[in-house]
Formats: sequence, C-alpha cells, structure tokens
Amino acid sequence: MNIITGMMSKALFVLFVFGFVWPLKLQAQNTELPARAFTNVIIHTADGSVIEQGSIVWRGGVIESVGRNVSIPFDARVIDGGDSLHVYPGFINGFATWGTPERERFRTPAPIPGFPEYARAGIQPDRHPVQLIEDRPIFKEALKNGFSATNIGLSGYMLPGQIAHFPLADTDIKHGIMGSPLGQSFQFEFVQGAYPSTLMGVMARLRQLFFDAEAYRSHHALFASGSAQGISVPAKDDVLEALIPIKNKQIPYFAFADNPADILRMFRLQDELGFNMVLVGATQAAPMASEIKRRGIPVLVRLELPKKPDWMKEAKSEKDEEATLEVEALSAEVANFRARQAEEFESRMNNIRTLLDAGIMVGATWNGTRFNEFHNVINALVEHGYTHDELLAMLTINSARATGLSRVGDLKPGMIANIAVFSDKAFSKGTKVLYTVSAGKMYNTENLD
Amino acid sequence: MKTLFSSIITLCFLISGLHTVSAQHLHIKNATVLTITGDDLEETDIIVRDGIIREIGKNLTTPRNTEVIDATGKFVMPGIIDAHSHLAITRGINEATHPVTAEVSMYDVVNAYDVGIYRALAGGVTTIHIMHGSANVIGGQGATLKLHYGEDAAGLNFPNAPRTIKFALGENPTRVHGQGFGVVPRTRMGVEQIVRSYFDAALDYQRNRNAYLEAKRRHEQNPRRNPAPQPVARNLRMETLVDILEGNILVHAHSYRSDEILMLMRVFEEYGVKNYTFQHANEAFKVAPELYKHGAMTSIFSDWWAYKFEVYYSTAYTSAILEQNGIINSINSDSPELIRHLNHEAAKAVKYGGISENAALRMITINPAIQLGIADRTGSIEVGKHADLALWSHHPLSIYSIAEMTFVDGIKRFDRNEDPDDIRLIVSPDSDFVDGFFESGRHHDACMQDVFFLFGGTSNQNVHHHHHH
Repeated sequence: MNIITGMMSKALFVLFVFGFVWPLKLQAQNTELPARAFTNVIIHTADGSVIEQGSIVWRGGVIESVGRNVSIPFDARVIDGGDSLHVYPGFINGFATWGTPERERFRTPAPIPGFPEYARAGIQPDRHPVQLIEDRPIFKEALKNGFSATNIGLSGYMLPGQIAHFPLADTDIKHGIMGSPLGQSFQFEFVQGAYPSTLMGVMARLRQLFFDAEAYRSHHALFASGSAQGISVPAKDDVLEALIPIKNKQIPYFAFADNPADILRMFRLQDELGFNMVLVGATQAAPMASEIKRRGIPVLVRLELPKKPDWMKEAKSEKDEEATLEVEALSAEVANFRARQAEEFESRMNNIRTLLDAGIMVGATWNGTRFNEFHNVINALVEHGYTHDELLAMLTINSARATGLSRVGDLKPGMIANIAVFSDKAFSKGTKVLYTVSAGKMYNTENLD
Repeated sequence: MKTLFSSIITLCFLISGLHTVSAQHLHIKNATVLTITGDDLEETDIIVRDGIIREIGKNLTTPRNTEVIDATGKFVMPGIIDAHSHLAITRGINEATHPVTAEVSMYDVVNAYDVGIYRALAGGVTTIHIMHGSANVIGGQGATLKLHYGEDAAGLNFPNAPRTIKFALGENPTRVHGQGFGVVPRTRMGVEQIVRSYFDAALDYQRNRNAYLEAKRRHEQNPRRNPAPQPVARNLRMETLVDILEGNILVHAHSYRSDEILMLMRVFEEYGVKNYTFQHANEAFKVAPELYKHGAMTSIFSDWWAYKFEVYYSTAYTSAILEQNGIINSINSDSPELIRHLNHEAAKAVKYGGISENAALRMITINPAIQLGIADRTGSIEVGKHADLALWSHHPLSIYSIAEMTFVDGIKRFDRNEDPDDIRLIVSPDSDFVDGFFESGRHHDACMQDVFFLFGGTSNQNVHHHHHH
C-alpha cells in the first residue's frame, strides 16, 4: 500500500466514524489531495432526478460538489463527458460473501456432539470478514459492472459472522474496511453431527445464546465494578461478547429468510429476543409485506429470477404445432398444475413490486459470480415493468440505507465518492459502464482486465 | 417459557388475519351421531355456531344464515385425534446430537403447507400431536395442531393446548448415543440414569436460579445492604425439565418393553411426575395392572411389531387388554399413510379383542384428547365443545365407510364432493407434477429420522429404504 492510499483509507475510516460530527473539518483536511471531476455529464441522483450538463467534483474520496454550475478546482483532473455520459451513484451490493472462504463441511460427528466447540456448531458471530477476505477477480468484475462498494459477510451456518462495508477499490479490499460492523448474519442453517443439527435446534440455540450473553454481560459488569464480593473471575467468551451489540440493538441481524414461513420464524425470534433485523433474501416475501413494513424492517432482496418449469421454457422456444398439440393433450390435472405454476412464477416476479408498494426500504443483494447472470436478472426486471428509478434506488441508496450506511449510495457533497459512468442510461439495452469510482479511486473499465 | 408461549399466541393473532376463513354456521340434519361420551343418537341434528357445538337433538329448527347439511343415513363422529404424528414438520424431527434436548420445540418447525394435513383430513382427522423423534431420552416438546389446512403455522396451533414432551426409552436412544456417539446411554440402565441425572440437574438449576433471582431482587431493593449476586443464566433445557417436574408438561414416552415401562413409572413416582402416556408400549399388556395403579396412559399401534428386536413380544389384543384393565389407551398412526384410516386401526381392536365399538372409537377420539389435555374442548360431540366433526358414509368402523366431510372448529376443511385436483397450498414454479400418493403402508421409522448420518449415510431419505426399525 502506498502512502497516499494509506492516508486515504485512514482518512476514510475517520470520515466514516465521525463524518456526521465534523464534515467541514474533514473536507478541509483533504485539500492536499488532488481533485477529480467529470464535466458536461448527465447526472442521475439516487432519487431519479437528472442534472443535464452537470459536473461532479470529488477529492480525497469525498464528493465536493455536484450540479450544473459547479466551479472546477484549479488542480482538478477533469474528464469531459461531452454531454453524453451518464453519471450515477456507484452501485452498492447490500450483501455478498465475495472473496471469503466457503463454509466448512463436516464429514464426521463432533467428538461430543451435544457440546461442540462454537465453530463446529456454526456459531461464529465473532468472525469479521476483514480477517478472512482475499482479493479475487470478482471485485474487479464488480467494478466493471458499476459497483463501487459491497457489504461483505461470511459463509457458514447459524451465525456465520459479522458484516462490514468494503469499497471495491483494490487496495481497500484487503485493508480498507470502512468502519465498524454493520450487523451479523443469522440464518436457519445447521451443521451435521453437532448441536444444533436441526431447524428447531437452531431456534433453541439462539434463545440460549441470548440468555448466556445476558448473564455474561452482567457477570463482567459486576466483576469490573470491583465492589461485589463473592463474584468469580469471569471467563472471556468472544462469541457471547459479539452477541451483546445485537442484544442491545446497536447493530441488526442480517436475517436470511425467503418464504413466509421462515420470515414468520424470524418475527417470532425477534419478538422473543428483541433484536433489530434486516431481512435478506426475501424472494417470496410478498405475503408478509404489510407486517415487514409495520415492524420497520428493511429488506435486501436477492436478485434472482424464479426458476421456470421446463414446459414454460419449451413453450417459449418452440412455437411449432407439435408443442401446441402436446399442450392440448394434457390432462385437466396437469393443465391446472401448470396454470398454478405460471401464476406462482408471476407472483414471484411481482415480489419486489409488492414490497415496494408496501413502502418497505428495499435494497438489493447479489451474491453471484458471473455478471451476465446479474444482467439477466436486471433485464428481466426491466421487462417486467420495474422502472429505471426503482432499480437505481434499490442498487444504490436503498442498499446503503437498509444496512445503516449514510455516506454512500448517492451523489451529494460530503458523501463518499462512489460513481458509475455509463455510456447510456443505466439498465437500458447496450449501455456500458465506462468508469467506476470507488471511494474516490477511479477505474477506466477497459483497463481493468 | 410463559413468555415464549404467550409471544407465540400473540403472533398467532397477529398473523392469522392473513388467510383466516371464518367458521360457518352449520345445521347437520338427521345423522346417526356417535357422541362417544354419551349414547349413539339416531336421526339427530347438530347445530354449530362460531365453531362451537350449540345444540344436539331431533328435528331442530335451522337458525338464520346457517348451512344445512343433510346427513340422512350417514354417521357423524368427533374428528379423529392422532396422539402420535410427525406430519407437517420441517427440517429435522430429531435433534439427535444430545440425549436430552428438552429445549427444542415442534412449534418452531411446523410446516403448514404439508399436503399430508389434507390427506389426514380426508381420513376424518381434525387434531394431531406432532412430536420430536425417539433418538433422545428426553427429546423436544410436541405441538398439538388443529388441521386448519390453508392457514399458516400459527393458525394451526390448538389454542392453549397443554405443553407436551417426548421421552424415548430402549433401543433408539442407546443406539444413537451409546453406539453412535459413545456417550451414555448405551444400555437401558443408562437411559434411566439419564432421566434421573437430568431431573436432579434441573432441581439444582431451579434452586440456583431462584436463589439468584431472589438475591438480585433484594439487591435491587437495597443495594447497600445486599451485595449483587453472581448471575445464573436462564437455561431453556433445565427450565423445561423443571416444568416437567412441576407438572406443567405432559410426558409422552416412546417405549416398548414392560421392564422399561415399569422403570419409568418408578422414576416418575419418585420425582412426582404424574400425567404421562407411554407411546407404542407394545408390552403394556404385560404390566396393565401396574399401569392402572400409576394412572399411566398408553398410545399404541393396533397391530404392528417385529420391526426390531425390542418389539417382538407383541399382540393385537393389547388394546382389549388395556381397555379391560381400565387404562386410557389411544391408537395412533406415527405415519402419514396410516393417519388416513385410523378408523380401520380402531376397528382392529373390535376384531381382535371383542371390545365395544364405542370403546374402540374412544381410542381415536376422547382418549387421545385426554392424553393431550384437550378433552374439555374436543374428542366428543357435546354441547359447548369445538365443532371438530367428521361425516361418514357408513359406520366409521366399517371397512366400506368413507369420510365425506371434515369440519375443524366448524370450518369445512375437507369435502369429498369438492375435492380439487390439486390440493397443494404452494406450487413451486420449478417443481415436477407428481401424480398421486405413492406411499402405502409403513416404509420407515419416522421416529428415527435425521439420525442416520451416524451410521454412514449422508441423507436421511436414502437410508429409509434399507434401514427399518
């Protein structure tokens, strides 16, 4: 890491933590770094509004000015967009496990299955992605596709670990975590051969961990107070310690659930244990929309298309008479079943619409590895009637807000310089990402290979 | 646990607005009514309002806004209650990693979309008791469900049903934990020792926890005088065991051999546990007087045995022997297939033991209701009870009889004349069309699901085919 980027990431860290308190002072600190700017561009902010013939200036990783009549600093390196480039907030991926290890597989039972080590049981809320993340081609791929930053969590079982925000700028992937954990993952996933090895076991185990964390917290507080007699030296337990910010609602669970039944289970645990949550996945969450809204739960919807039944794929590709004849020969039962499948397919395509209509904060998570799949999803959503502004908000400001990030996801002075420059309107056919700026660092996408 | 339970109930009300179907007002006319707890009443009407049986009598006047069902020549009996089922459970029946897992609960893992619920309704069943498997000496807590097929998981809960828990004796826990994991219990002696040592641990826990809470209370009242105590964490496993010892949870103990049945009765007597049912209990006939003396109940298979060593000594006359000895016995399915014709299972008790038809029907209605602590609300046709009713084409013990309609809390959840082609509640876009129900008879020991990875299998499903009881 060279000195400049080292300073920059330190500055960013400070920015992140204290940004609300001293924004002016921090901007002042950064004047020593050269400014950069796009001029004569079409600027799209996260709320969908457009500034024609606009300019955007950033310095030291922070946006300094955005607008039509912006004075360009004398030291700025400028790219003139010639009134044709479209400048967007860089996309924020609400959750991914990119660059982190796959979850461990356990082939044999634990030595004493009823009392496994935390890690063997998939209880690892103390793990932080910065300990495990490695640079991978996916990060460059993400930059090429207009992503400036991503939240990174870990793969695992019931409590895989913490989630933190990472700019995709290359020096930052390994070193440049911006700020403290955004939350921790909780999912209905269980190990084999150790407790908990079932869904009911996971739910019971979470409850018990909360009770243990409560006792742990008060034992430590009591011991630290020094006044209490007869209090033994408390053991240190990183797992229970990690649970305390969740218990105190300082950070939320990123609660993974797709269908109404699992979302209901999450609600039940929330009611019992009193934690905040961001619902992640939510691909069939529509029936629960009003309750999600009532609870004020933000959602990171997983960008994936519902799978099509084989017959639906065939019907689209082969329009020959033979296929039609075959359909006519179907029994009433099969025809009815297919109608239900088509209906369910349609309702899953409408899932995000229902969540948006309910007024829920809907961000996006995409944890894939091949970006053509990402574009397939986006194209299908566009085809299905999701608007440019809706998709833009989901991929920028909503993913940020849903996960508690206030300094990323839009193009406003004082926000972190995450910018994506497209050849045409985003989500339109044939549009290309030309530049991506991640935490102030600019990439020409053609040079990223 | 009270808070847990009340939050489940709260959630139940919260969410049940989603799909709730309101109860119909019904006038079932001119049926032969098998009341179970009273006489069989011919040419009799039943009037149901708001899910409750309001009137039983001849030639009743139809109230306003009431659906009339002509049951001339047909039979109405209380909905069948299955005291032993593993239907409608998702992602694990056995938390088979520890011999005592009292803290897990089937209420957490109800799969309201299981088509098996509808198939059970088609056999006249209205209430089921879903249980943890039999891998552990003290398994998880059970859930008593009304078969409101179409509601979500919260909508299936039998409101305010007493809590239950599964115990298991004999070969299953010794095989899983002793043979599989090399921990106690490896023998029947070890099973007894697990029960005793965990009961003792629960009493210790209760004493320590109460002492802590009391000291904390005193400290909060007067911090100068009373030092803050060192915390004792709330422990769900121990708390549940305490609840058993305090009589707040009904025990259902998987068991086969007479010696282990006697053992558990003695242990329970010693610890003051009173309200319990032996599940399976193939050798209960050998210790019927002892069961009676202890007030123990049984829930058995009509005629199924020899699927493993501990169930060779069995007889189809068990129902009759238990009935003759005054024991409250039920006949259960433990199977998604047999649950569809528990009336036939009850009929076997008449065939083999010559017991009365009423006594046989009690074994699938009021007796399981007693064992689940819900007999004040269901299990018989009486004014004031839930309208959990099944309408049969013939006497339900006849092999020719067919369940035509099934009502749960007055809501018609099954009607043979309006049986749709596809009764799945959820159709996945990428699933295959599966025509028909391929399962028949007993394939596997449902009680032992999820434990087979111990024995070299990686998937439970694979092992079912070659790993019988």
